[in-house]
Amino acid sequence: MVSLETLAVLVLSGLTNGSVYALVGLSLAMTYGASRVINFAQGEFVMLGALSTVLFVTTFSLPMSLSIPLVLFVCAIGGFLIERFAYRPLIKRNADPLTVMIGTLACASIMTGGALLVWGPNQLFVPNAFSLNSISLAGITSTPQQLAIISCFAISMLVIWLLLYRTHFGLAIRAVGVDPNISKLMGIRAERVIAFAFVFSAVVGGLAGILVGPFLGGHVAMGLVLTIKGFMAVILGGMGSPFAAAAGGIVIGLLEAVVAYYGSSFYAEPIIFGLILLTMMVRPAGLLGEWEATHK
Amino acid sequence: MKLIRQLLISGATTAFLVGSTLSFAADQIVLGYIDDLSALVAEAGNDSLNGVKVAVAEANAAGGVNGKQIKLVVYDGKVDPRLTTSLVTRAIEDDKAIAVFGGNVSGAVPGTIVIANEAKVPFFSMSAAADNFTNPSTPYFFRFGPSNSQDAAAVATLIANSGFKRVGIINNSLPFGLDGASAITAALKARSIEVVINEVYEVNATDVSPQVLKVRQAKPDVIVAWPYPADGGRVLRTMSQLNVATPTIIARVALFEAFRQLAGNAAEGVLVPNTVDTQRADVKAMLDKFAASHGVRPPTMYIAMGYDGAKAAIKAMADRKVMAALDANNLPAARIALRDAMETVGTFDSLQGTPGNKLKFSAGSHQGLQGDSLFVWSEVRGGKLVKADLKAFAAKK
Repeated sequence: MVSLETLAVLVLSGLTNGSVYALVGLSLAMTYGASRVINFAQGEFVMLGALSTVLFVTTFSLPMSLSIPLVLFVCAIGGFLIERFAYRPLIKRNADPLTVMIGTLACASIMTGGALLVWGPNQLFVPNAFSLNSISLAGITSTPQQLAIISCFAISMLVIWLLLYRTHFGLAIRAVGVDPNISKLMGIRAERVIAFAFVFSAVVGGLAGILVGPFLGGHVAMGLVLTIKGFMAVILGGMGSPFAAAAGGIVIGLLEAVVAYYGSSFYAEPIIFGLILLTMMVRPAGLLGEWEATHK
Repeated sequence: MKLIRQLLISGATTAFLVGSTLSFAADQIVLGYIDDLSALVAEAGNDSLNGVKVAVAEANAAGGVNGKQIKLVVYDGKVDPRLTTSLVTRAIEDDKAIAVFGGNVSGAVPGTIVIANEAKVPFFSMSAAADNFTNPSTPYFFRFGPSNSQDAAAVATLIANSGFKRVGIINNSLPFGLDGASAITAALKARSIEVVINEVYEVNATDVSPQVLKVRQAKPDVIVAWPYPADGGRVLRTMSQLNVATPTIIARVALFEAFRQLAGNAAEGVLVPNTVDTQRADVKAMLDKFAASHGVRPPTMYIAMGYDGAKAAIKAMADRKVMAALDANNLPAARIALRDAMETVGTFDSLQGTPGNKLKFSAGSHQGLQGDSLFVWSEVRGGKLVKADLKAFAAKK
C-alpha cells in the first residue's frame, strides 16, 4: 500500500518534470503544426530564458516583475530572427523539410555560441521568481517554484486552447497547419501565422527557462537535452497538436518518477523509448495524434 | 634570367615555409591543454588551465627550461569525448606538443589514453577519477588528482571515525557518479559499514524527489552524495524540502562556486573532501599569485592539480636526455625521454595534501598522489568553504 506522502511525491515529481517536457514539447508541436518543421533550436530558448534571467536580475539588478517581460521579449526576438533569417529564406528557396530542420539546428549552435560569449562557460545560479523554501499543504511538501512550473504549464494549456479554438487567428493557425497553400487561397497570410508560431513557441520556451533555471542551473549547453525530451513528448503524444505533445510530456514525467521510485532511474529512458516504439507501431500518429486530428 | 631568379626565390620561400611547418621551433617547447572550458565541468577545466598557466609563467620568467620558453596551446574539448580526442591528436601532430594536459572530464579520458599511448606522448591528467585510468598504469598516462578509490577511502575513513553505521548513497548517472558510488561502497564494505541504499538519478532531471524519498525511507545515519554541481544543488534542496536532516558528505563538486550558489542554504554543514590545505604557506603563496593573474577563486584541488602537473612536467623536461632530444630536433625521442624522466625523477613537490606531501611516479605507478595524507575536509558555511569541524560532524549522529 502506497502512503499518501509517497503518492504525493511521485505525482508532484512527475508533474514537475513532465510540465517542463510538456512546455518544450508543445512549443515544438506549435511550430511543427504551423510550418511542418521541427525547430531544433527550441531547447535553446529555454537556455536563453534561464540565462537572460541571470542577465536582467543578477547583472542589471532589475526586479523580477520587470525582468520576466524583458526575458520573454528577448526570446520573442530570438524566435522572430530564426523565422525571418533561417526558416523563411530556406522555404523561399524551396528547401526540403530536412534542410530547414538542419537550418534550425544551425541556429541552435549559433545561439549556444552567442550565449557562451555573453555568459561564459560556467554554470550560473538562475534567480528564482518564486520561493525555493519548502511549504506544506495538507501534508504534501513542495516549493512555490515547483508549483509555479505546474501552474504555468496548466495556464499555458488554457491560453493555447483559447487561442486555437476561440479566436479567428487560432482558426487561421489550424488552417495553415492543415494546408498552407489552400489557406493562402482562402486569404490567410500563412507567413504571418508561421512567424507567430515561431515567436509564440520561443516565448513559451523562455517561460520554461525562467521556471526551471533555478533547479537546473543556467548553462549554455542546457538546451539540447530539453530539446530531446520535448521531441520525445511530441513523438509519444502526437505530432501537430500541442495538446497531444503536452500529454506526452506529462506521461514521460510521471513514468520517470514511478520507475525511479520502484526501480531505478537507469531503466527510465529505455522504458520510455520502448513505450514510444510500441506506440508508434500501434498508433503511428502518437497516443493522442489521431484523436486530435479527428476533433480538429 | 629574371624568371630563373623568381623561381629560385619562390622555391626557397616555399621550402622555408614547408620546413617551418613540418619541424618545430627549437627555441620553444610546446605543451598542449585540452579540457572542458565551456560546458558542465568548465569550472574545473578553467581552474586547472590557469594553474598550469601560473606554473608556465613562473618557468618562462625564470628563463624557461634550459633557455627554451614554454608555449601553451589550448583547446576546448567541452564534455565531448570525440572532440577532445581529435583535439589531443591535433595538439600532438599539428602543434608538436611534447606533452598534453587535460582530463577533468572522465568520459573523455579513455579515448585520450589510447591516443597518448599510441602516439607515445605523455598525457598529464587532472581530476578524472575513475580508478581504472591508472590501475593498471599505461605507459604515457599520468594522473595528478586523486582517484575515486582514494576519495572513497577518505570518505569511508571519515564515516568510520565518526561512528556512523548505516550509509545512504545518492549519485548521478554519469561515469563520475557511478564510479564514485561503486568505489565508496567497496571502501565502506572493507570497513564493515553497511550501505543501506544507493539511489541513482538522471543528471538533467528537474526533480529528484522519488530518489531522495527512498533514501530518507531507508533511514541512513549519514548520506553520501556524488553529483555534478547543478544536480548536487538540486539533491540538497530536495533533501531540505523533504526534511532530510541527516549529516551529509558530498563529492568534490561542492568546491565549485556554482554548486554552493545553486544549493543555497541547503548546503549548510555539508562536508567536502579537498586536497588543498590553505593553512600551508606554499599553497597560500601560489593562490596569491593565481589571484593576481586570474582573479580570486575558491581554493580548490583543480588549481593545485594544474600547477602540480605543470611543475612536474617542467622539472622532468630539464632532464638531459629530454634536452638532448629537443636540441637534436627529435620530438618523438623527447616525448619518450620525458615519460622516462617522469618515472626516474619520480618524486615531485605537490601543493596537494598535508605539508610535505609529494607526487610519486614510477614505471609501475602513474598515480601521483599516494598515501593517507591527501585530504583535508572542508565544510560549507554561509556559502563559503571553511575547514571542517569533524568533531561536530560526528556529534550530530
